[in-house]
Amino acid sequence: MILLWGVEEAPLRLLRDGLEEIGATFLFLNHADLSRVHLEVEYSPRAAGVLEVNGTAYRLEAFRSVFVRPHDVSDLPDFVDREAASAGWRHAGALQSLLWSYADVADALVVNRPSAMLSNGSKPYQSRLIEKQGFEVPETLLTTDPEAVRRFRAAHADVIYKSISGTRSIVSRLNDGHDGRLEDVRWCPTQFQRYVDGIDYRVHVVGNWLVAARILSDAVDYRYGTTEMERCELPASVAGRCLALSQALRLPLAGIDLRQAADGRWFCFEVNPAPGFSAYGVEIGREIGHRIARLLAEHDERGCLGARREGTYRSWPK
Amino acid sequence: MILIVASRADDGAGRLSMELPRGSSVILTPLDLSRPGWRVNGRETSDSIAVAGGRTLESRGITGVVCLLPRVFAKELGHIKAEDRAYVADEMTAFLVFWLSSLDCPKLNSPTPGCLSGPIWSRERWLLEAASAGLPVTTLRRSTRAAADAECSSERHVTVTVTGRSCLGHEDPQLRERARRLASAAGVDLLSVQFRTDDTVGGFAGADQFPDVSQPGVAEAIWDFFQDAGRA
Repeated sequence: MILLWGVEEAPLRLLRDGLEEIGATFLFLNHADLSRVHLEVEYSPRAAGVLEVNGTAYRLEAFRSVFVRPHDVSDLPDFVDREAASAGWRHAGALQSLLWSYADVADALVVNRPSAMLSNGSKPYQSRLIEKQGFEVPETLLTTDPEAVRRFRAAHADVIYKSISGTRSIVSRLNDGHDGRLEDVRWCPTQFQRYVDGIDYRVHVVGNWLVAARILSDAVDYRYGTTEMERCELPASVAGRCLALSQALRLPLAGIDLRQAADGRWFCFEVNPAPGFSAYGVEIGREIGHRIARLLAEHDERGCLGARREGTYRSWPK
Repeated sequence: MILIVASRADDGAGRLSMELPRGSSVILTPLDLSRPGWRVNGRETSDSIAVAGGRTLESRGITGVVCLLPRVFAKELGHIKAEDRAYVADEMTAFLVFWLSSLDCPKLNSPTPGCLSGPIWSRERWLLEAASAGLPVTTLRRSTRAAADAECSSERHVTVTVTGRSCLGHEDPQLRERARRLASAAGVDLLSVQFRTDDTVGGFAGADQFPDVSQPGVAEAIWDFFQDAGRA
């Protein structure tokens, strides 16, 4: 059986469609509605226990594949206005904590393990892992020194700045208008990078399969501009590096941001461990959803060979 | 120079620094990340300039790191606008994960994504790793119905603190060996391991990579660790 943990949003809908197409059995645990969900786990040391959803009990051991795309409880609409000390909030927080720990050690295929998703929490840290797989990474400065930023810009002419952490930020070009604000870097180390001119590619890896989209955009950060996306083939060596990278980061599902510079070199900016794959066109999104569904289902079947299936199976709530 | 990364409110860090040979250590607090002078090349970090204790230092002059902070907490950033504190704390943490990991010197402990000192493991994961390392474990029960979780509060423990090859605390050689094995499995050189003393004597009860460094003998063990590492 397959466990999906997340909220009702486009990527999970595409995955649900994929699972229904192949007739897989799954349980959707809606992170936005956990009031009637309970979890009891015994670690001795392997995890065993019961997940109770709306009065129906499921053995945890029956979940051979788990898909994790949770949101922070405090960001969910039902909790934004609630008191953090309320019973509902505390229950949701406790459940999230227990599920998170379970997903990290579960004897199942987990897409993706929480601990594996953490490398994206520090972009320069992740960049060092990216470089080891043979991708280029632009010259980068992290500093609290306004003068150092000016020298870096003078050396590289075209420079962008972006967050260091996994917090989403709009990648922006540094220009003369920023000069007065440069003094603000004194308050917190800030990341600057040489701007690489070229064409963006978004690669999604699912297990040993990948799909690439070429992105034409008028913006420095294509997520915030007018864009056109088209499916494309990557050179075999680049595709191989993408697969090796997702494997090195222990991510069966990864969204990899590449740019091919005018001189032909391939730069990699980031590996997203919870990619919003529905944003890359209907056809690509559907195929990724289908591939994830197959990956989960194949592991579920392999894990269940020779074992009696337990639990009550239920499809996605309509 | 030994760099001690700690909260401003951590008196133990100050005591550790006092116990180490005079002039051999400096304390870096989150306030130092709000001081001008940091210059870190993202690709070649050996020539980085850091700020610690209010003054700049070259990263190549750092001979060891003791990190007593799991991350930078927003509540420690009173000098930052309230609405920006959570974001700045995340940025500072992400910066330190990168910079500390890039330093070519022995660390207590090396950072990992998610924690500035060692792995960010849940109780469940520690239990699993302890069992894999051959430590006796007892069943851990977790539940969203509170009762099961509260059951271990009355357990009695003894503690062994591993610092490199040294062990402090409980003197049972078997427990010390088990603590060393777990530290090795976790890839850390500074770790407190609690063992049960009730029903399962010597069974694994918990682990903490942020032991009290002001307890007797720890400063000496830390100094020895860096001296040994320097000779290796």
